[in-house]
Amino acid sequence: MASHNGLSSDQQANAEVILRAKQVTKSVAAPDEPGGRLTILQTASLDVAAGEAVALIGASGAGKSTLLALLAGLDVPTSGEITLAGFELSQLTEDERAAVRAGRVGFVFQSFQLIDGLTALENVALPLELHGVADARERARAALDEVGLSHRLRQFPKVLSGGEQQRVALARAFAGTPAILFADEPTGSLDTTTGERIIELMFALRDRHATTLVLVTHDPALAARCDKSYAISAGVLQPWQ
Amino acid sequence: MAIVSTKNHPRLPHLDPRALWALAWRGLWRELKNGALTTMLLALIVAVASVTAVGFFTDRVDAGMRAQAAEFLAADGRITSPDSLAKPLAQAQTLGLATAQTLQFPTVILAGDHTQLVSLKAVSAGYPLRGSLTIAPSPQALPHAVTQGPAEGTVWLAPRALALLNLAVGDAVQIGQKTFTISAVLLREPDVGNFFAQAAPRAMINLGDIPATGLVTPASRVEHALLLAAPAAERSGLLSALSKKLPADLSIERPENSQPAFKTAFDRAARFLGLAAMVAVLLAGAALLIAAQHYNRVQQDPAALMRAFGAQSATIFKLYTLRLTLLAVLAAIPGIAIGALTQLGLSALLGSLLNFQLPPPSWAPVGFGVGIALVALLGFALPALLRLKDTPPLRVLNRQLAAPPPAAALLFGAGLAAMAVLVWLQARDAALTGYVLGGLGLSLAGFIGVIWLLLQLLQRYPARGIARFGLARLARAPWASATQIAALALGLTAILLLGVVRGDLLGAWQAQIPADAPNFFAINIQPDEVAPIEALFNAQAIHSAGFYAMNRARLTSVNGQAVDANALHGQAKSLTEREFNLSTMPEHLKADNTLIEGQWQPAHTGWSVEQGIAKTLHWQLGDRLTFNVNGAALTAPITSLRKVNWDSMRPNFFVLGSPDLLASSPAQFVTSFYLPEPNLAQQKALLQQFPTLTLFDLSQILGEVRTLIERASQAVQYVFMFTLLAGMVVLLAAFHASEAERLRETAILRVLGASHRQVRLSLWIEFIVLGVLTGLLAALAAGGLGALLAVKLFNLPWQFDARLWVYGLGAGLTLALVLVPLLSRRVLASPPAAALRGG
Repeated sequence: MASHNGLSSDQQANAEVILRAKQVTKSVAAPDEPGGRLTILQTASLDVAAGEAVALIGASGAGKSTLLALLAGLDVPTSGEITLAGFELSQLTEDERAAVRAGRVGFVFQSFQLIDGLTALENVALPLELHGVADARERARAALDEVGLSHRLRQFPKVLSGGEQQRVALARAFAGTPAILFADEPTGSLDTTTGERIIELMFALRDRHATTLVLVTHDPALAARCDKSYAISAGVLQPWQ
Repeated sequence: MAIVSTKNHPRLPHLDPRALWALAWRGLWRELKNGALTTMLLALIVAVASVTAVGFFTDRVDAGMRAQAAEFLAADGRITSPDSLAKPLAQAQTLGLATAQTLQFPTVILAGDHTQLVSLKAVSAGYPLRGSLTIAPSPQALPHAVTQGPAEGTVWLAPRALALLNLAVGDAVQIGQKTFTISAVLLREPDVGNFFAQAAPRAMINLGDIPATGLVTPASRVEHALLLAAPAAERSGLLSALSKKLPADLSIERPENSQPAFKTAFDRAARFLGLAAMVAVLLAGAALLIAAQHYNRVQQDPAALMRAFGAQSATIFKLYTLRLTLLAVLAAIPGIAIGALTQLGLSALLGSLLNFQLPPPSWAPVGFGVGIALVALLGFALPALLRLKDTPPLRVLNRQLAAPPPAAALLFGAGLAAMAVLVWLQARDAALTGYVLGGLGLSLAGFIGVIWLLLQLLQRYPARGIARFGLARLARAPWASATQIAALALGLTAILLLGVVRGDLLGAWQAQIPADAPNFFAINIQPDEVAPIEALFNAQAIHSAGFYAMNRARLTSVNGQAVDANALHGQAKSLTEREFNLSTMPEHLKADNTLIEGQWQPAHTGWSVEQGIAKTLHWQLGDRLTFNVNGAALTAPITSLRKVNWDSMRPNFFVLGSPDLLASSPAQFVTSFYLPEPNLAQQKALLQQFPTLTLFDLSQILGEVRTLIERASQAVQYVFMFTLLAGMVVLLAAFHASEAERLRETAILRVLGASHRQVRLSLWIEFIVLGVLTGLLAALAAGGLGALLAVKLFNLPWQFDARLWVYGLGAGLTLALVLVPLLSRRVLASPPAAALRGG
């Protein structure tokens, strides 16, 4: 079977693993729970090959975003190992995990997470500037052009529609040509039509830049567009379909 | 699938300084444009403006007062000696100092058959170097100021001398071997000097006439004075240079220490002005503390986002530090400009009131303004933002997560440290800095403690009904609420301190020299004259300070060691060389004396010594002093040390002896009394009846000191008024900082179905509780600080002003009255959805 990214099964089998989770568990202190802890994620394991699109599907509160945060190095597991771009994240300090993300990881969030005080262009340029990219502005301009917002460069997020804001977020995510993109419910704040357009755009950009995608969604149709899908239910991760 | 080899640790990237600078600047610019930093900027501008306005103005008032003080010497510096000062004169002229000379001694003038003892002063060209002389063509004519002394061959006489001799301008008098024409009435001279030198009325002639009078010979007892002046910029250096060349027995007297009474007034004025400036600093701190906490909350999302994008915590730290530094510089520019403009208006307003020309301001307040902005922002605001670097990147997915709150010790430790630096920079007074910081530190800790406890109680026992929403807002984040209320209380403390305590302090100061303070001293009263003079005073309703026995004495030994004045230097030498005036210990210590050490025991043989002279001569309690009084050696131990309020204008003595020591020594008596205005008829009656009595007229000195106090009070009132205004603006700015949160929380209430009435009620309850708490705490702190300042710093009596409670509560409730309607209007005018979206 040919996957969405066009890699054959054999090719996928030989592809480099960019992200690996091994027996990952996450629990938090909860005095009311038995043992005083609440387990959000239980012994989750998965491999993501470079260039692959992987969906994490589940209902609200199932633990999808928790797993995404762990995979992206935004949080650390209680036990287990996560390897991102060759670095074992749980062995690293907060700053070292940030250094792993820098330039390698892009994000798209449900609530867009644009900085109100910056224009569309400045929002897109921000991660590049933080990594000391010399031509950050030019690359940000090109990224916004790529998402069809070259006419909205100097607009502030508040005057943009939800769809436009998410397109700015996509431009920001892809401007740095990351190796891997983490998308958390990217259409969660949008109407169906706008949501579909954003998904089309996201997959198009992902194809163009050969970016690995880890997508959190509760939409089975969207999950079906990915190379691989995992379902999370009550903190347990299982291959889906 | 293959997996790449696992690497150990990634290399931590460092952002290029230029990129960091660009990011910081752009962020600052954008946040200034969209208003995120407006509150902090405004608070900072107001703070810098108020501090620099105070700085510029006090700089000018200070310089003006110093110029005024210079008038007391008629110069920037003065050297006095019983010997000729020809050598120092030549040295001063070589250095480029402006000079003038005076010669002073008592002598007799002849007018027909009448003679009159006068204090003759001969002045050279150039006298006075500072200030002016006031003369008139006749005692009744309008006076005018002149900057030159009398011409050769002419004499200016004080009105009292003219009256006593029945002379008029144009008449001739003989002084020594030369005849002079009276050319003017001398009403005022700047360097009135030691009032005891003015036992007799003044006569002033030109120094060039002295040889012709034949009055001064090498053996004459005269006082030579060399007056010195230089432009302000070179003054200190030139006077220091001359000082180094002088022999050990000569020193340069400076205006600041020329008059004890004036010096006390001057010091108090400087301290009052320093206090005014410091309060502005305090207000800045309170506002910035709140504004920075608000900014910290607003910046958590961007910080988390940058962390998620891979920014290092050090990068976040540098970014915000740089942004604040840029903000400080940016705020300092308009702040200084507004400060400069405000002081121009203030000076224009005060010019006529102050009665002295304000010199132009120096550039020092500009540097100080920038320094204030930087230290204040980095000290008060940076600690609140320090933990932004620790914002969890996971916040991008979960907004409940936040950066850990800044450590209280760091937050307030840095604030207090910044305040210490600022207060020290402003006041340059360790005691003032210590008292203000100690007082404020304790107040702040007390405020936070009390509020914290109350909020904890509120959490445990929540209110009911709509009151719960208003109070829950305070109780939900007790740390933030406690900090905010404490900062507000601190601001209100400052305002109360200005509004109420300032008036009380100034009142207490002015009361130090009341309108009916004795203005005449009478000495050489014989024992048998005391009763008739008392009768005369009673008959003429003249209030006297009482009659005190006075014995002339010489100090001969200390602890059995003969006193050798030549082995001493400076003031110690002159004190031991001259005669002491001893008096008898009264049964009870006088009101203007305070016991510092030892016991007040008039029944026990001993001396009671004024603490200042004891320090100068290194005397201690128990030391045995021997005085020669009329040939008798009187030896006794020091049994007590006293502090004397010399401002009281009542007779006081460095050394008092127990009655048994001085009972057998013949004494003369001294008194002081108040005459409503120099009344020559009464003086003449007194003089004619008691020919040995000598009168000293203190009216002029008293008038000068009183004028200085009045002027300084006016200046302080205006400076305080300005600071008060700044404080109100800063308080409003501080409230504005929490407006966004309030809008959002109220919007949630409205979405949940709260009516307009309920929303308003919840705001009223919250602000009334906040106002009452703030007002009561502020009243308490202002009272405590006022007492501390009065007693420890200004040496003034203090009583807690009960009005503080009323004003404190009133001010707290006024905050609610002003802010709740404003907030209600804003909260209820915008749709809840907009507030919830953050719009």
